[in-house]
Amino acid sequence: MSSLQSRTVMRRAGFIVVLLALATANAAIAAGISEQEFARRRTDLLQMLDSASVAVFRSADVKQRSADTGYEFRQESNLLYLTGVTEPVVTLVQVGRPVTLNGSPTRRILLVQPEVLRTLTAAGVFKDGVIVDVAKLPEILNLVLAGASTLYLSAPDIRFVNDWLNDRPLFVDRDVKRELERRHDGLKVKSAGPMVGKLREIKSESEIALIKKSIAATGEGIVRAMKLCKPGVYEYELQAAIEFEMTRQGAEYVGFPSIIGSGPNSLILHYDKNRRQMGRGEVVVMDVGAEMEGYSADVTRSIPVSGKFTKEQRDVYAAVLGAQKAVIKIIRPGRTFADLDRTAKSSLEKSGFGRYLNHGVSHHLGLDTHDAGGIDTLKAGMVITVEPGAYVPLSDSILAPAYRGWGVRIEDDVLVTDSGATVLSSSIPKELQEIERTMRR
Amino acid sequence: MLFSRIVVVVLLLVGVAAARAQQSYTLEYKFDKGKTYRYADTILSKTTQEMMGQEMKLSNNVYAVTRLVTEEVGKEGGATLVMSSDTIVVASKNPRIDTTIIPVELLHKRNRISLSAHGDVLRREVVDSLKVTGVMRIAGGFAQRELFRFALLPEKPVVVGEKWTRKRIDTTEAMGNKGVNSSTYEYTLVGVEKYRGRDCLKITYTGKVTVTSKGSMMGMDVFTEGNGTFSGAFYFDERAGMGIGEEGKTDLELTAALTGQQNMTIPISQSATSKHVLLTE
Repeated sequence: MSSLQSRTVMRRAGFIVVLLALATANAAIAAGISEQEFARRRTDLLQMLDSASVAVFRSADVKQRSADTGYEFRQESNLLYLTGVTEPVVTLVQVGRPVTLNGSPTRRILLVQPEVLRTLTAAGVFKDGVIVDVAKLPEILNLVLAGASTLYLSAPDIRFVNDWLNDRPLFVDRDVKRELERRHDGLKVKSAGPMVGKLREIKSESEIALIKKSIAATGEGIVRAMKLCKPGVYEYELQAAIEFEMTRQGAEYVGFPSIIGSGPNSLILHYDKNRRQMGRGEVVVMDVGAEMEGYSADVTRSIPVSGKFTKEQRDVYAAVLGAQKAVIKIIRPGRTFADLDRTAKSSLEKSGFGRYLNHGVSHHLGLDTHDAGGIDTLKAGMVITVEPGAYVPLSDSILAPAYRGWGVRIEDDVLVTDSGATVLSSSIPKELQEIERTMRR
Repeated sequence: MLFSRIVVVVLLLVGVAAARAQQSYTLEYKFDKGKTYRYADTILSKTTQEMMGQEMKLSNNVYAVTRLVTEEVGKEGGATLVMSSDTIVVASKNPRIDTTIIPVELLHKRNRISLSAHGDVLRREVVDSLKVTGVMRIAGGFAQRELFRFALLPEKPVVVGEKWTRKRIDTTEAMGNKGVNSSTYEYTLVGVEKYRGRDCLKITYTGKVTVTSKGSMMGMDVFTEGNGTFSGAFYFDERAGMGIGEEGKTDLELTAALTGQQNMTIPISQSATSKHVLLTE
């Protein structure tokens, strides 16, 4: 090894030590949700387990971007929901019947790295259970799985590997579960997702407050982009403006890669390359969301690049806006997601654009942009998106050429209340004149 | 005197029953050139799948009428058949969709299959290619398969109660999607039973199936792998040499993986019942 190589290795080692120290100092619980609320969530989950069931939640892994560079760590949502712990290498174990640990019976065990253990203990969290060193995980799993009939598992990372060299798919998570079932006689491994989804789908007041905060930051970003937008500007410039403003407002992440699709890119639902230069007379779809303390916004606005909608753009925009308002109007507990889809389609059909809506118009919003929860009946306390669109392909032969090759989507975040709906993103310009006015400023 | 007559009658009856039980059957399909066979197919399936933490229950019911025209009859039995669908109705229900569709692009599209006298598929050939997009691409793969599966008959004579085991490997390759279903059947000749007004041999079966497939959907690679069990009964008119009906049940545990724009695995449990009956011949 050359001296230059040794110096590089030492520098890297030093860097890792500094990183570890920083990680220790910042070992944290997500803000905005009280420890009492986290404890209540854990109790709610325990009530869903029978005495022979165990639930295990594992943190996300740190993901490698390239060489020795990793992606920024983001906690797995189920674990974040139940503990608020934002660190990697964490496991939460909840047991249907108490097990004895450190001489005391407990049904909640949190396994973390030693430095995180010290931080969490000092912070006085997880008092309803026991925090132990993650090195004890194999021992604790053997303890809780002895005699258990069902393991509800939430382990997000290793799912599937396409072994393209040998042309064979490896279903890693399935095989891991089978191996566990083989080792523990009578054990059935099930996903914890649907069970936690039942809890996550109804938002508490503090969760709604965090979503509102994310929406407010997102709105600031969208308004900044509206003011910047003009022919010749690149899609990534609008992305930069939005994400700058969201970060300035305190967002830690974007909830999902920002979608800035102009002209033909507005037809691609999950377009996130954002490299195109925008032209006069085009529409740009901006589908973006800030994330704060884990909670995401998801708002879409479609605007004219030139600052003024053309006649055809007005026609499509008004039809989509009408469909969105029609959907919001019918939202109340007891309605179904299918009702919302049907209402959007039927409204667009009346305007002659029904055939150009090719996706569902609503999903849950929360710790994930497409959040966990049932997709049948609406209940008070759910936060959902309402996002109809119309996308006329270039190959269309029904509408006049000026309508072809672009699309419009309008998306707001809506709280289902006892009596109807509250649009949480209502302050972000949406009406035709409102958008044109904002863009003139 | 009376007693001895009864004894004789009883002995005769036992003899007849024993003779019937020992009767051996040579089972072969007998197709007539130019003859058309139409089967009514009903497949009712219930699926539970989990995606992104959500459990979704779906049902798909398929009602179809399949037409088989005997194009050629082989010297050693068996035949070349041209298969097409006269009718297909698909009723799908999930939390977001409750719809009934008639996939017209799949109707009357012909495929040619060569069957041995014992029901083995020797060759397949697409006569009319399908031009379908989206979800129907997957349905297209199934449409190029006969819904009525001819039981794999034994290659030697069998008696009532006798079992035989056969394997069937079915590969599908349609519009970029490749699939392999490997099934092992254990058949049992149960006896004679009236089915739809005809004297049929009832052949029950049980078995195991493994499923693998690889394809693409909306720009993403889709891999599916799993296995399951099946059971059912096949009614065979020995004199006519034709399957008159089949009723079966299949349970599958599958895992699908999507990679590309999104990465996820989807555990799928599927339970299906099927019924196929000969309408006209």
